Amino acid sequence: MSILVILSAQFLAAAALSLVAVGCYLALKSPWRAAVVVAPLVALVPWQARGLHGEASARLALAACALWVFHLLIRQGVFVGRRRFYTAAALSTAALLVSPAGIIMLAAMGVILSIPRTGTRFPSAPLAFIALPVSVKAAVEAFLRHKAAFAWLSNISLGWAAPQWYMAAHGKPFNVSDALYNRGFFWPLLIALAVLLVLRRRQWWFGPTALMATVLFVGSVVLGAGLYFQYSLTTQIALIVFFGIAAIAKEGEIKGQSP
Amino acid sequence: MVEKYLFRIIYSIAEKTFKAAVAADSRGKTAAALAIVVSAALFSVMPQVYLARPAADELTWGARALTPWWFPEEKIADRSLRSPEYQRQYYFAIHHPSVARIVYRFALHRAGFYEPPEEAWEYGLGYNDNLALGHRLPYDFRLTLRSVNAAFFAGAVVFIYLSTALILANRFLAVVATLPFAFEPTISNGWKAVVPYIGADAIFLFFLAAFLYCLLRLKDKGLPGVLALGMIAGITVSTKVNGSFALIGALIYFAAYSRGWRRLAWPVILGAMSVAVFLALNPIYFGGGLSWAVSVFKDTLRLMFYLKETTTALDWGTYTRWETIIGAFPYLSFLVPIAIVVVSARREKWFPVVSCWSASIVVLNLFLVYMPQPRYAAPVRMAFFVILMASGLSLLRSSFATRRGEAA
Repeated sequence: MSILVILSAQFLAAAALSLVAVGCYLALKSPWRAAVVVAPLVALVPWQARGLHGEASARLALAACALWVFHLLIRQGVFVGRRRFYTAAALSTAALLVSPAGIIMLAAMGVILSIPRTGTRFPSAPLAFIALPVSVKAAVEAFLRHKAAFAWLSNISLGWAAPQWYMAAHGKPFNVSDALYNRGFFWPLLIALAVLLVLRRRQWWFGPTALMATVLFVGSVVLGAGLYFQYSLTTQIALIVFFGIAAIAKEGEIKGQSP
Repeated sequence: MVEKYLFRIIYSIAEKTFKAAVAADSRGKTAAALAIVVSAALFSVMPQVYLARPAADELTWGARALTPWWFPEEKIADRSLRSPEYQRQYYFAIHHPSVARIVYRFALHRAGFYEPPEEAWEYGLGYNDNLALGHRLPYDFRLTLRSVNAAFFAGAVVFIYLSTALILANRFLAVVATLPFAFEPTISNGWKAVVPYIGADAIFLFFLAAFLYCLLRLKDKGLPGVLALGMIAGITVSTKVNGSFALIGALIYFAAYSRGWRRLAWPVILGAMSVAVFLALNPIYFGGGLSWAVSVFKDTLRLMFYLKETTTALDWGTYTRWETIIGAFPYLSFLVPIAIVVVSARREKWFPVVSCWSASIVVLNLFLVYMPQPRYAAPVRMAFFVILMASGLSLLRSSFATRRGEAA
C-alpha cells in the first residue's frame, strides 16, 4: 500500500467531510448546528487514520456527498431549468469518473427525481443522472483501455466498506471491535432513534438526506464485505448525518408525554 | 438428523407462541411475549454454551465455587499463622462476593460435582500452553456452570422485558425494546462473552435487571418497599461490587424525588438494609470485631488494585482510557441523536427512576473499568439499552398517538 494512496484517501475523506458540513449547513441554516452534526465524523476519521477507509471508499463518499449537496440546492430552488440540467449532467459525470460505485447513487437520484411527486420536478433526471454520465464514462474508458468501455461496472462493489487488507491486519482496534462492537452494534440504535425520522419526515431536507443515507447505508450492507461501522466511511456518513440532522433540526419540536 | 429435530422443536414453539399471541387473553399475550424474549435469549447464547472454547478463569471459578463460602470461621488476623489452605479460602472470599459462589455451588452439587478440580490454571503461562497441559474443566462440569449462566441471562432478559413493559405499557414495544439486549454481542460473542465465560457476570446482570424491576414496582410502596429494595440491592452488591452503582442510583433517586423526611430516611434505610444483607452473605467480614472487618475491606481493595495492575501490565491488557470507553460504549458517535431522544423523554413519569438507575451504572462503570472486556461492557450496554429504548419507543408511541388524535 503506497503512502501516496493513503494520503490521497485522507484528502478525499477531508473533502467529503467538507461537503457534509456544507450540506448540514444548508439543511440546518446554522453553522453551529452543522458543526455539532459533523463533529463525530471528524472525530472518527483520525481515530482510524492508520487504516483509513480505503481510497475507493473516500471517493465514493465524496461523490455521494457532492450529489447530496446538489440535491439540497435543487430543493432550495438554486438550480432551475436548463441550468439545473446541465449542472446535474456535469456533476453526475464528474461523480462517476471519481467513483464507479457512484453509479448506484446516480441511478437512485435519476429514478427518484423523475417521479413527479417527489417535490422536485425533474423529468429529464434519468438523462442527466444516468444516461449522460454513463456514456461519458464508457467513452473515456473505451479510449483509455480499448474495448473495455463497461469494465468499470465490475468495480461498483468497491468502496462500500473497509478494504480487506485492513480487515486482515488485525490491529488492536480490530480485536476490540471483534469482541465488543460486533458488526452491527448500531442496529438497535436505529430502532430507538427511528422516532427522529418519523417526526422530521415532512421537512424539506428529509428527502435528499434520506436518499443519500439510504443509498450509502443499503449499499454498504449489501455490497460491503465485512461491514464494521468504525471502518466504513459510507456507513458513518449515512447514519451520523441523517440522524444528526434529524436530531437537531429546529422545526418540529420533539415532545414527550406521560402515558 | 439433530438439526431436523431441533428445527421441529423450534417450529413447534414458534407456532404455539404465535397462536397464543394471536388468540389469547391478556395473560396469554404476556406469556407469549415472555416466550419470545426467552427463546431469543436462549437462541442467542446456547450455541456458545455448548461450543465455546474453555475460558481462562474457569478452573479458578470451579475451585472457588466448591470451596465453602462461609469460611474461614476462625478469624486469624496474623498472616504468618495462616495455613496455605486457610489463605486460599480467605483469598477466594475477598476476590469476589459470595452470591455467584453460592449459586454455582448449588448447581454443581445438584449435578453431582462435589470435589474442586485438581488442575489449576497457571496465569504465568499463555492460554494455549495451559490448554496443552490439560488445564481445563471436564466438559459436563463446564456445561453445568455455563447452563447456570444461560438461565440467569434468560432471567435478566425477562426482567428487562417486564421493566420495559411497565415503562411503555405495551407488550409489543417491550418485546422490541428487549430483543437488542437478548442478542447483544457482549453476552454471546465468543468465549470471553458473559454467558460462555464462567464468572459472576451473568448472575450479576440478572440481579441488576431484577433491581430495576423492583425499583419500578416498589419505589412508591413506603417502608416495606424500601426494605425489599435494600434486600435486592444487598444481593446485587454481593454478586459483584459493581452492583453498588445501581444502589447509588437508587439512593440518588430517593434523595432527589422523595418528599419531606423521607428524602433522608429512605436513602439511609435503603443503604443500611443493603449493608446488612451484604454482611449476612459475606461472613468473612464479621466474627473478628471491627478491626478484622476493616482489615478484610482493606485486603479486598488491595487485591482489586493488584489485579488491575497485573492485568493491565500484560501485553493484551494495555488499553488507554479512550480505547476502554469506546470499546465498552461504542455509541459515542451517535451522541447527538441519542442525547436528543433521551432528553426529550424527560417528562415521562418513569424517567427519573430509570435515568438514575441507568446513568449511575453507565457512568460509574465507564469511569472505573480499565479494559474493554465484554463482561465489563455488558452491564453498561444493558443499562444504556433500557433508557434509550424506553425513551425512543415511548416518544414513537406518543407521536403516533398524537397523529391518531389529530386524524380523529
